[in-house]
Amino acid sequence: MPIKVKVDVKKLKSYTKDVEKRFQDELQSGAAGYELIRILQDIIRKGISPVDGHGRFIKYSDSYKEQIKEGRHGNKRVSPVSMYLTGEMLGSLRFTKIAKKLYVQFEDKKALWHNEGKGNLPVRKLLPTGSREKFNKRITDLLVKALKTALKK
Amino acid sequence: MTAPAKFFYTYSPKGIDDLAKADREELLDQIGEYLKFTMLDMIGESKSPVNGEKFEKLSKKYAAEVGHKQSNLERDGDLLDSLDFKTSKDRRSLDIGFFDKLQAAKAFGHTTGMEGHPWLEGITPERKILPMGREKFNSEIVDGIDNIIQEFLDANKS
Repeated sequence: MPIKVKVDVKKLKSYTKDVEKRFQDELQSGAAGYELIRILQDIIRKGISPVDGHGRFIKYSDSYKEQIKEGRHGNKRVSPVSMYLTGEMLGSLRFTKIAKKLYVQFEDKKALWHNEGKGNLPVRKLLPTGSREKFNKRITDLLVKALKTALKK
Repeated sequence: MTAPAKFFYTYSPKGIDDLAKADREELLDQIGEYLKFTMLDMIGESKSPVNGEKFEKLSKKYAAEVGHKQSNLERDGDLLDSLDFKTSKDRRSLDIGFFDKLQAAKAFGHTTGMEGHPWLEGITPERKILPMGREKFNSEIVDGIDNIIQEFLDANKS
């Protein structure tokens, strides 16, 4: 089941009043969505939850760490908890634009298991799904920075 | 210099004196979360949150051991996992850094290039994790915090 969140574009705009109109053009062209996905994948692969207040992902279990050390998961490292094994899950992150809003979701169901801590998995928040949850403001800053760079080109 | 038992940086935002204590607490929490997140993000990119410069690459020997060349201060993850922040009792400032003795020593060692260490001083490069003395976080971080404060103050006006 996909996870959907919305990005408050009005809030984004408040940081970039000087490029408001062009920002809308970027949004319409889909550039903002692609940038947001790139940023989220990058943050998650560094072992950081993009959800405000969640910090670094909980470490792997001791048994899983042993398997990593034995080389049973390819080049995977014990730290950071990159949420990356085959790339299937992180690669399933998608965005859609509806009106003036961006929605992001994982198509791979493993994302939901991690996000909610199903079975033996600890909760590793990949997207803000609760009513009080939000992205860390750094995500917005990085998105604005990337778009400003794109607009200068 | 001996490594301290706690290694942290105190940040005191300006212009928040007129806010109620509960509001200052909320604002400091927002700043702390942003600071922690941004520090982790930059360090993950092998970039200093203090001067914004790239960390010196790992030595060949150590790189071979850990399987990558860039220094992101990850080995078992204990150092970065211990990064945290605490707000002061009067809610006018926050301390961000390392409050566990072992991790504080490691963070201090990286930041100073292992100053005072009997055999690593002068061998291990300086990788600035936290501002010391008159230093500040780099402008990207400072600008981000300024935006948070301004937005918070604007929201509290209306």
